[in-house]
Amino acid sequence: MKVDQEMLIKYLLGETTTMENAMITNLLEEDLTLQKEYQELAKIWSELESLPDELPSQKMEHRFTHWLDSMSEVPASRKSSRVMWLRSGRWAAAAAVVLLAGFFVFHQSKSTPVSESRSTVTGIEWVSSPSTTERIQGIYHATMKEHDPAIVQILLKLLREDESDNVRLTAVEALQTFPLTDDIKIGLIQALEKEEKPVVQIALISALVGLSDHDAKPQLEALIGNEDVEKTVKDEAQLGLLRL
Amino acid sequence: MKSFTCFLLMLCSTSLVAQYTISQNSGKLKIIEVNEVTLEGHAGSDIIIEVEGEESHIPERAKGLKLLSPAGLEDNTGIGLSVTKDGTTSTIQEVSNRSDERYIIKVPTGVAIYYECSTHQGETLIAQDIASELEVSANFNDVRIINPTGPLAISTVHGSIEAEFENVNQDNSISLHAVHDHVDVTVPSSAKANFMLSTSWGEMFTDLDLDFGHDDSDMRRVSSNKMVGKFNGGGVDFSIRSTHDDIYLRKK
Amino acid sequence: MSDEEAMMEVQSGNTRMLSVLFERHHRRLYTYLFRTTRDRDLSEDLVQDTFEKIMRKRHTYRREYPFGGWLFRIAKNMLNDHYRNQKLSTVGIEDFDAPQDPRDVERSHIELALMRLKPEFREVLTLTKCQGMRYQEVANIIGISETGVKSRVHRAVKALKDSYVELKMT
Repeated sequence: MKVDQEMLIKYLLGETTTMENAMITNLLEEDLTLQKEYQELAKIWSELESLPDELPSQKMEHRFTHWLDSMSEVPASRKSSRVMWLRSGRWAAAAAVVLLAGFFVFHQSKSTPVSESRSTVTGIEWVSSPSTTERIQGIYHATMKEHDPAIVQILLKLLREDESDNVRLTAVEALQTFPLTDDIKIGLIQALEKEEKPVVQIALISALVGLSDHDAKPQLEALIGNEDVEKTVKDEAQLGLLRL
Repeated sequence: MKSFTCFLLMLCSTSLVAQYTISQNSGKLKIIEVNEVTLEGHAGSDIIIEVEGEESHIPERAKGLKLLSPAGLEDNTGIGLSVTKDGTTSTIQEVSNRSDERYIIKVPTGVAIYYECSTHQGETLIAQDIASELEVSANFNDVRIINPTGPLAISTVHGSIEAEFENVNQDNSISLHAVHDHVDVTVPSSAKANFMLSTSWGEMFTDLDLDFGHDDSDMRRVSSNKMVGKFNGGGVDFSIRSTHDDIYLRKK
Repeated sequence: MSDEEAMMEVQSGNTRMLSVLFERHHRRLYTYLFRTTRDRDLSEDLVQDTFEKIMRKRHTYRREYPFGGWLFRIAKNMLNDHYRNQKLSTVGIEDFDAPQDPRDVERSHIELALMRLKPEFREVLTLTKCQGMRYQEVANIIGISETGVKSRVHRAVKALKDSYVELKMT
């Protein structure tokens, strides 16, 4: 068999058979012209691989953030969205399938380099567990192990939609362990506007005050002025305003 | 003679304890706005509700009539409670709003319990030997938990929480959260846990060797605000919080 | 959390989760588009358009689709649409005259060599080599057969080598 450039490219791309491999390796040792040719190819190939990603301009990211902000629907009344959340009992199964799929894909693609952006797989089946304490435990585990920014979105969702005060309470505490972002800030403030349970209201106030979030002042004032709000919550809001 | 014994038995069962049974040994039990409750874990396969203390306060005049509540609840148990069942979930609600009875609810091991009470008539909730999941969302109730072995998620705004563990089950997360009153927890000295303790305005005291602080006094104050400490090398996640009052964590 | 889980979240109404996916993928998507079109503004627009399309089409996502492949396929369709709207056929990208980029002077030899290739070669090289995708994934994205991708990669490598050598001589 004649070894030409086409064959060398096949060899470079790892598409040659074991027999061809042996033959090419031998030929490469003997034929210096061929060797030079191959070295050039290999050099180009590895340089190509190490080419860094292109850097888009900053305005691209701003544009996306701005657009997403404008898109994010104001959550409908919590009651109805909670029902949806609970209904998604299929969720657990879904998550399991995704995990399996991820596993499968990972194994299939082992031979080729896995792109760096393939994220760490953290199971989140717990999010839709019918058991309150399992959801709480899920929050503890998810936030203690790693600070995956995706978890922040899960926590904010739980804070908006979970039917259990105890879960919402745990979400508030867990969110405070993340570096403060606008998402977290806005999430906490929006939750305070919607929240009706005193125990969670107080936790939210104390979180916002702890984060020295001056943007929360109007919400605290609104609570103080709201007749439906329990006195103890108003006291907490008053205290918070003094500290801010 | 036979009929006499029968009569005696009947007398015993009606006058000593008024009782209602729900045949259920899995799923969930929701107890909503029942002011005075003692929960007891038991090995049976029914949920059994007993009334303690005062006999029914239903006036003579109301004999033969049904008690209605403003919320549209109906006493369908004969003991002042409304019980409804939806799939695997039973819901117990108190019908009368001037009741001063304490309900003792015996719960089989496989039934998860949710207790919610928002009014200031809420009295101490006692939970004894509960092996299933217990979630409490209370406003004014104190909560006393004795020998729990299931997972706990407890919150109360004005009441205190006191919990005494015979052993700390490693499968379950525990979260005890009070706002205006203290939380007092006793665990065996061999318990394994990752304690997360926090308070905004109160103080924390412990005699556990949590590997922080160097004070020699018996119950030492660890610090203010928030801390995470492993006990006996760490174990189950165990969160204790009181926003405005103190936290006590003891071993026995 | 995996991309697929995040996308399922977006689908179930937690649209904020899209920012996580954007964060993870916008650079590699941009790289692909820029290497293929050599037009910065167009590539940035297409990245944005792609994520907007994902939001609109979120209900068509299935959890068994690997997210990366789905994303790139949508982007490729947007790119095709763009050229079609410009009354250029997909094949016509070859003739597309990209604007000069001042940053070209700082580029490495290999990058310049790559830039001189036909867009369809730049495209397969970027996807297979720079993004580490398998032929089958690339085939799904650009809409040709797996064998087609393979042969295109071969021709692209050959062309890249020629371009590299030629550049070196000048």
